[in-house]
Amino acid sequence: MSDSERYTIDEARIVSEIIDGEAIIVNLANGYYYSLDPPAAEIWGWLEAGWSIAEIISVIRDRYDCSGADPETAVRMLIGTLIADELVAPRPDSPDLPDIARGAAAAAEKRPFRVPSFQRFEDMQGFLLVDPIHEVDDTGWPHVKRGESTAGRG
Amino acid sequence: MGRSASTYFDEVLVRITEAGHRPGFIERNYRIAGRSVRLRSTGPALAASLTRAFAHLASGPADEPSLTVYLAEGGVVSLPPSPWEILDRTPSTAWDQEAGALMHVRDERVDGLFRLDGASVSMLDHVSGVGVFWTASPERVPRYERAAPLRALLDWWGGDHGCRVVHAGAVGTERGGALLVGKAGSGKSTAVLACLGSGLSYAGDDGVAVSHGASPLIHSLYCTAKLQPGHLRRALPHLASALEDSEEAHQGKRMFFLDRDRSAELTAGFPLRAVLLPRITGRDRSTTRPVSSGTALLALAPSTLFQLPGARQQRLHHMAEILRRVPAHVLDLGSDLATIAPTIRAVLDDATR
Repeated sequence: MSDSERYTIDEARIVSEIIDGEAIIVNLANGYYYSLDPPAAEIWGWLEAGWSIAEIISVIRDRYDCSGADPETAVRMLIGTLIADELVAPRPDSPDLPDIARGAAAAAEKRPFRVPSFQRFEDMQGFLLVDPIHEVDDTGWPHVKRGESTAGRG
Repeated sequence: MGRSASTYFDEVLVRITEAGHRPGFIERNYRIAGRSVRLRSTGPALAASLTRAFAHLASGPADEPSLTVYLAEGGVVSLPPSPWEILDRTPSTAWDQEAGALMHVRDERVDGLFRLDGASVSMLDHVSGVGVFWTASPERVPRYERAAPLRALLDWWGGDHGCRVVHAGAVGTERGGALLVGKAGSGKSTAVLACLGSGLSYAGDDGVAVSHGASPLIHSLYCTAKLQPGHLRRALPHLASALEDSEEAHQGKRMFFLDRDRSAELTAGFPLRAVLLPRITGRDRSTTRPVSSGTALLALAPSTLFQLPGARQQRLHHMAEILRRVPAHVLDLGSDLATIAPTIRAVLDDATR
């Protein structure tokens, strides 16, 4: 996990919404869903925007008082878990984005940095296994008969 | 050029509407989510099976309905060969079971949902506002379609009009109502049924539509409810007569219709004023406590997303937009069910002040 690595979210599989400072994430493929507390939700929003680990840590140091917790360890742990749960994946291209972190305003009065955390819920998985909805996608399932094609986009 | 969902839909519609069937359609009209909907069935058994849940929304015919759905059965209309290999599987012999895998297909014009066991097909043409529900036979209409007919189709159509189906119950008055959200077993059905007779009208126990905007509205879809018969007899004995007019549902529940005995308490909808998350407690009295919009979305979104096909990100955003506009509370359900309706009414009174 390098500092410059950026991440991608598979929109066909993962849907999310930030509301009231919390993030709700649903993995449509396996039925797991997640509630991210405000610090984790903020990082999720930055990952969605394409920020690298270095940029995220930099902006946290600008905005928060990090004397009580190490943001680098916390951010790496969170992203590592998000990768393990297949909510994000490293981008193969990792393009340079224009000075995202430096563009963020440093807070005048810094609030204490809180270690991000989230909960994972698995109770929808049984529902998904019993009554699945298979979405057509461009990878070819369900298979179109030979000589035919679908315009399905899932 | 291959066949898309649109071309397949066109082929199905031609088969259903060809001259031989047209005189025989049984036509019924409804007002659903404030718009005119026409259902045209190829036979009386299918019409009876799929339209009773809308009985409380019946209306006179409209010149140009917003949505027309053809209800067709295999004995009258055979489906054309599908372009998808998966549909050529030998139909399951276990077709009467509750669960069935579904396949969702979509293109720029048409959404379609196919039961992989061959029991039913739902399709909607978003451009013309014409839909099709086909089933192999009236006896093979899936149980969930009898309790909540055309749910996916109504959701797709509603999505074209800023309105989506959510997995929730709802009760209220003309001034406003509450959406009761939570997964199966959270107490939604018990809570909304406990409100019958209290002056709060019933909009649904398991699925309603909600339109967003500055003032979100709850729209009733079905006059059905589901509950375990033993629980109904013990907890709500005054409603036990509903079991005389009930059908087997999943997980040991019975599905019953409320249009026969409770028609005056059914509503087409009301403004959304609050969201409630029922929780079963060991206490006597029901109470409420505020909860964050995020917690409410966590209770509403997953089961809604997994029940309804397509447009999941859009659907999640729709739910979040609604929840940003109204307060949310946990509704701790007391064992004295008579305390539920006054507790909900107090929340609604606060929200409409």
